[in-house]
Amino acid sequence: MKKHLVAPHGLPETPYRPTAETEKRISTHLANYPTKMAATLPVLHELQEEIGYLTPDAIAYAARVTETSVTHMYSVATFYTMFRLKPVGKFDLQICTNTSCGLTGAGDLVRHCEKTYGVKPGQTTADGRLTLHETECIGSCGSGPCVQINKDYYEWMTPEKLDDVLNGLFQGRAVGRPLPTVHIEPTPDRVVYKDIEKNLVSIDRYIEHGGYETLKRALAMKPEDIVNEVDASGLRGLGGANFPTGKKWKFLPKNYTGPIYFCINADESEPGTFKDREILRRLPHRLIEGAVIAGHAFRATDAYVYMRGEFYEPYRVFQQALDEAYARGFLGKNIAGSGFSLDLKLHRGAGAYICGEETALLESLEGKRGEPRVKPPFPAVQGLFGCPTIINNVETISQVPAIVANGAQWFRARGTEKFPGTRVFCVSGHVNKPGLYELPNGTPLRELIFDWCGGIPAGRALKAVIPGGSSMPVLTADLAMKVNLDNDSMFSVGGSFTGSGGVIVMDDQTCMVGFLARLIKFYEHESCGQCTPCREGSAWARKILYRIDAGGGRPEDIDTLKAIAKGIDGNTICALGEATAWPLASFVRHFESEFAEHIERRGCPLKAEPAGVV
Amino acid sequence: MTENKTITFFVDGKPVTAPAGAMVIRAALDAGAVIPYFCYHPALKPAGLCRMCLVEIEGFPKLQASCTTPVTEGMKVHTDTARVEQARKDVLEFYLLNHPLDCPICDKAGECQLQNYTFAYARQNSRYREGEKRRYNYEDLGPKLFRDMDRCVHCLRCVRFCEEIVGDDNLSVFKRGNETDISIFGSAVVNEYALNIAELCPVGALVSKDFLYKARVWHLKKTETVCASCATGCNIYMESKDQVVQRITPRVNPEVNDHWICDFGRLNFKHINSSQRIHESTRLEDGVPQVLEMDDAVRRLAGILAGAPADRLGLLITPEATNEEIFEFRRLAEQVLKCPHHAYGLVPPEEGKLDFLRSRDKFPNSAGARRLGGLSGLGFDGLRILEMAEKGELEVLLMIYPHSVSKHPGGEAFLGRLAAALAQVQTSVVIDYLQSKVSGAATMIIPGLTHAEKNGTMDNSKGITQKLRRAIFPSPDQLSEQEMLIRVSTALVEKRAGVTLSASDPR
Repeated sequence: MKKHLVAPHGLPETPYRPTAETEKRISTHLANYPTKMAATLPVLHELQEEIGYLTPDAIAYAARVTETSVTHMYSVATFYTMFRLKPVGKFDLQICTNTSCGLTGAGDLVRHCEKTYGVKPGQTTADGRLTLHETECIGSCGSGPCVQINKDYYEWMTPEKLDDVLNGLFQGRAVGRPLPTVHIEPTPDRVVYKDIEKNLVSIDRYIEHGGYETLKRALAMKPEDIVNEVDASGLRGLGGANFPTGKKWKFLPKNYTGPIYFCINADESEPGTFKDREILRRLPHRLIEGAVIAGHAFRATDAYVYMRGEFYEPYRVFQQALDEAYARGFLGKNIAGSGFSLDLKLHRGAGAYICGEETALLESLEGKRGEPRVKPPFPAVQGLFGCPTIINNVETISQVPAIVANGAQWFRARGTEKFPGTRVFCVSGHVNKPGLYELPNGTPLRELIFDWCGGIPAGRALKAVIPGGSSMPVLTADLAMKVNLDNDSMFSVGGSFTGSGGVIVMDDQTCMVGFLARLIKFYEHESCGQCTPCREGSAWARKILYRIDAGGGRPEDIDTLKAIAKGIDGNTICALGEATAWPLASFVRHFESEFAEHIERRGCPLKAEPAGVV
Repeated sequence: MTENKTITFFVDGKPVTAPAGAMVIRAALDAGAVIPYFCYHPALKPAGLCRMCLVEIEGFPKLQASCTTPVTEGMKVHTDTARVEQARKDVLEFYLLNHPLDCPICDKAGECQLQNYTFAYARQNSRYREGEKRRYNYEDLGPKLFRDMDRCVHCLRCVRFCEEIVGDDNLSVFKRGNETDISIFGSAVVNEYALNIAELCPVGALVSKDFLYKARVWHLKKTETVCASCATGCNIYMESKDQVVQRITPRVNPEVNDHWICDFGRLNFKHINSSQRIHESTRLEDGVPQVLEMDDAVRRLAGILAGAPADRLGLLITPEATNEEIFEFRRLAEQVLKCPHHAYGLVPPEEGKLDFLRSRDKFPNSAGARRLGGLSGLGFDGLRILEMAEKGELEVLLMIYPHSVSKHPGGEAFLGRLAAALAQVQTSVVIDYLQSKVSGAATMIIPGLTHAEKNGTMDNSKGITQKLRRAIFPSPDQLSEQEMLIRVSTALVEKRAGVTLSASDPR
């Protein structure tokens, strides 16, 4: 019997101390939260920034300053993918091979790097210059394939462009900027993305274009009136669940006088969704304005923006916007002389899709592993630090200033009765013009794909569409031509939902088995592991799909995949179970004959490279 | 929170009353329903992790985890519908995918929830065709526990127990998803209650090193008894096979120990078959030990006690003894010998608790000794008798369980003083089950019984009288201390009156 050592990482004798600047930043983080433990993630980020990875003594240091234990720190550090427990190369190349990037050639990038630099994913070159990682969706699907090198995103990558970038970095040359980024269509009557092309990043520019006017008016309004107005507007949560926002706000306990927390979910990580990143880096003040109005409406006492850790640039931009807003008195004590005070702080995640789930987000904000909580109690009753908490998506809150400025009726003039207003649709995959399209809810999906996005490239035919982020059931081309982008039509006609607004388009050369295999690998990777159907079921389904994809399919596999989906669906703590089960079930149901053919012919009938399967 | 309020709800159509706020699983199990579970534990906070306890509740579109759903008035719960059965089957199939199915070599086999549920609910054939199962390294978690993560069902009872009951986070969860690893970072799991984890584990993922590969649990005879390791008197099962104690497990008693026992108590059976046991009666003749028959030894003891004046006699017992033994000891000392120098311990026992279970008082029956001995106005003043012996004021000294004086604070020193004092005493008799410095210095030794080998009662620190039951039989010619005392008393009374009271052997 092999005995394992008791201490896998021995602790050194002299305690570690970071530099004075890092210590100063750490003390700022510690002051941001009511508990020291809540600073776990920021402290680990700072230490990793300084050392390059988390050494055992850095972990011990983090445990000391957050008044937790090394066990807690190690437990948290191993949960989040961004925390490295081993050194990485000077340049950490992370290639997103998830759905949309996979459709647009991420597999080629990985194969190219393996050949050119002689490393497999997870390995570092002998000279220590480059580490290659395959990564999950980094929220830049409309300009894929997208890679991240250290802190920077490089979009629209091809093997040649990637070589250029890497050679530039190796030689210490600055890469020519600005690099091309995602396309934002100047659709009419935009609300969230209004004036995005006018560069409103700085507070002066934002104010010049009428920014913060609504905030001043809203602060003079009675909070209940704002809640009622938002409720009457029918605004729905745009993170994925589409729950009515006003109704959520009204769940807060009445006559409660303790602290109320407000969390803005900027953990955008649903594959196919890339709208919030543009708000954070190009319209930060619209979000801040919306946040203060919303905070005033339901009497929030403290607010946090939970931003996914990979968003280095949006973090920097947004932090600067926060500083400006504080300096101008739009945040902090006695905002614009109204007597209302609100602190808005920025909290970074560290690489966990599950933290987009609202209760996992709360756990993560409290400095723990991002494991969803059992509901009830719902966050509005018992949320962050045990207090009533409202969690809204970035885009949802960015809608609020316009609703308060123009009224519920104005908002309801567009969209459908049950899903009013406009929202940003993120189109990625096989369309001529992928990008961001703010359109009224209820817009026909056909119109979005063929009129706005210019149809399918290279004269190919449409095969399938995922209409609302990768967790939503897939539509066949037939269904996609019939549905509108609102939940009534989407569900009654297509059996799907608009979810997060991420529309992933697949042409007729896409292998459904390979695509689904890659997608389910994502859900396996992102399962927190708490509950069994999701943890075990996703891994099992992934293994079967990879086997079929590699030509080892068996006739009974199709029934097994259906059974797995059924076994997960509805049997888990959080919605990640459904997020795995729905695509799994719908792909197999809609494309059963292709799966069968794949199995019978022992390989892909399309002779397609596996989608993102590397 | 509403207190003392009961509500009525329905389990499979049957009306059931339960306290408001109770979880469905508790109320339904109490009402006799069958619900499988791994992560639920009555003493731990609800977690909702294992998804085995899913039930159908009217009005809820999804199945609900019964361990995290509180009952409400009129709620209609179904535990036996086709949908529930299907969910159990599905969830169980997920559990078994990576499980090694190594029941034949697993310590938990026979009391494993996964094994039981597999027989009750699982599909007959596995649909898993993916070859290699998930594998972890065996891991040594320190001196007490051993981890085989392959068998784990991720219920986190272990981690939750450490956090919620012990307040120690050495054991924790690392990594995530399919790679989730329950392990330690830096420090071994060494808390005083760690072995409860092996029991809490519904499968064989965390096993006791002490019990590892010792016995199959279905061969064990379970005896309901109490722990004699301290004044708390935790309720236990003493589990034995072929007259050898194999392990001790807690027996639930909310008044005393709830679901737990400390590791010291759990392992406090090693002395039973140790080389330190006293096996036969011996008597020093010209400095050479001579073996005696038990009957002979007791008869000689009566003679020794009768041969000395009452005020030159010292009689010592400790709260290691049962109430019955103390009672007979007192009868012998007060009624028969009329000896003023007898005591139930050298000094008064310590009071208070070390932590949530362990008492500072290491004697199992101080409360009983206080209650029974206190009537005569005597008690824990044996130090006086020790001092008399040291000064040579005693001719005869009888000591029952002298090895246990080491349990007094500073006990080792007492043990040494007592042993040294025997040089000043003409005849010293020890009745004990374990050898000690004192027995080594005595002129006569009679073997006694351990708590595993006798019946009796003991009072714990809360004053609750609890039953000690015999788990294993001693050798056939062995007498219990109670019987010895009765025989000595009877023999002395007979001798004095010139009559025969006992018609036959009291055994």
